Amino acid sequence: MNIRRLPRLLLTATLLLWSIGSYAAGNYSGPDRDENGNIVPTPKGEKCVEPTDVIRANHMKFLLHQRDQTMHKGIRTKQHSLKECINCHATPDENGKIARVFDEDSKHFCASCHQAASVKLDCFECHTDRPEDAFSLQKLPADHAMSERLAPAASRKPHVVLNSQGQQDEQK
Amino acid sequence: MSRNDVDSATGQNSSVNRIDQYRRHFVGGSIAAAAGLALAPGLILNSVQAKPDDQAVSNKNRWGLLIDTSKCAEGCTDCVTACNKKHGLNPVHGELTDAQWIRHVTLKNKQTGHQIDMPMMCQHCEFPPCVDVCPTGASFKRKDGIVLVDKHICIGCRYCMMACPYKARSFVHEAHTDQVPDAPRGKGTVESCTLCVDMIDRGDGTTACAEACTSGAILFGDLNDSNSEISRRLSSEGGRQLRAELSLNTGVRYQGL
Ligand code: HEC
Ligand code: HEC
Ligand code: HEC
Repeated sequence: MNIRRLPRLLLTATLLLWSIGSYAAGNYSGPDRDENGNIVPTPKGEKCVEPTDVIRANHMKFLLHQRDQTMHKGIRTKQHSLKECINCHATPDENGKIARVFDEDSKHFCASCHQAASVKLDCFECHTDRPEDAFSLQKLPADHAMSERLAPAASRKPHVVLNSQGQQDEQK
Repeated sequence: MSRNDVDSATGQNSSVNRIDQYRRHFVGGSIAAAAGLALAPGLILNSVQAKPDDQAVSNKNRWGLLIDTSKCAEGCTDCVTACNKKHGLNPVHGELTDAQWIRHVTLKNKQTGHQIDMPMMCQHCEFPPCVDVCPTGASFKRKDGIVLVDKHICIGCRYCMMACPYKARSFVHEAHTDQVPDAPRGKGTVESCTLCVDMIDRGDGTTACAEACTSGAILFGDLNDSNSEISRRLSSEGGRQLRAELSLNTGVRYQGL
């Protein structure tokens, strides 16, 4: 072996090992945890629906399987239901606010790793990222769309007006 | 009732006979139900029984609605409002483009001035044209007769909207962030009445529209169960399919038209 190649070889090997190591260690931060190692904001239950290492590695498989079971066969078991993940994991922080997945640097449990690991999901374009509790009248987040939904029927009439060009205009 | 009865309103074979045809495949099921009745005298079999969460739906049931338009009060939109609220269908840009799972339709006879108000939604056909044309398999019919869009597969091509003779489907044009947990919906997919499939799976035995209808114009039930109220009313009072000439065998039937 040509001795002059050794430094380059060593450098390559080191870089390779380092990248594998950091990948295996999961260089994304994961959900926030307090000094006792508990996830914050605290999930509503004691335990996850699967052991932590299993759910961490395989939650997407469970969810995609459950999706087809529910959609096509009407099977609505709770264990791997997306709605239930959100019910337990999307809880208010100490200020009483529930983080949203599309926030920048989101503290929403499901976004915590995804954003760091650059995983892009389309699930929350349709599925709500807020728990069912948030939709009960008392705990309604004061956000425009939610109050709109609960407005009396009369004020929910669609407002359509035509502008001078006869095109449809939105009335605020 | 003779198999050759002709529906006076439509000139078609009576709709009830079509259901009978369908039901003949499930003679086994009916015998089991009859045996259940005999084993437990005095116990009235509930027409809508809760299904265990882990059990798949089956073609033992065929869910449907019977809508008596003569009970629809003029201008009443209670069912539409309840549907919109349950599914988080918020107004965005007005009725030209907003999703409508139930449309409030007014029919007027120009000669007599007689007017009928009625709700129109997905008719949950046995032979749904929307399913035939769907290129991805997103439009599908569940075993229990409910016609749905699997939005996970829908590419938003809108063929189904063109194929539907009832104009029952809507396209979601805008991105949403305020969906309700029971009704995921998002930009670029087609949607329509799901017959409140989540309530059916839970065994609620009703739909949001039927529940909200104070005049009792909307009845939900199992067309395959001859003891259900909907089947009994269909066989004694009759009920009409919209566009029966298309032979789609709709799960939604109308009276008073
Ligand atoms: C009843 C409440 C509950 C439900 C329902 C639930 N979880 Fe969990 N989950 C927890 C708790 C508590 C932990 C923390 C376990 C720990 O500290 O090791 C956790 C941990 C996790 C983790 C690992 C976090 C990490 O630090 O790596 C993932 C990923 C996860 N859950 C995803 C899901 C998904 C996906 C679902 C739905 C299929 C779900 N959970 C349903 C309570 C729940
Ligand atoms: C275009 C809209 C849309 C998108 C995007 C979407 N879903 Fe769904 N999803 C639905 C609809 C509609 C249902 C049916 C809801 C019902 O019947 O209760 C559903 C149901 C489900 C269910 C069963 C109900 C539950 O909460 O357990 C699961 C699981 C699910 N989806 C997972 C996913 C996952 C995972 C993703 C992302 C990879 C995703 N979905 C993306 C629309 C969508
Ligand atoms: C511990 C970090 C972590 C947490 C917490 C977490 N995820 Fe994930 N998730 C990942 C990673 C990493 C991937 C990508 C895995 C891959 O691509 O192989 C992923 C992928 C997914 C996928 C598959 C995406 C696709 O298009 O294939 C879904 C669906 C998903 N996560 C849903 C959720 C939901 C819902 C929650 C909240 C209940 C959640 N995840 C919480 C780390 C996490």
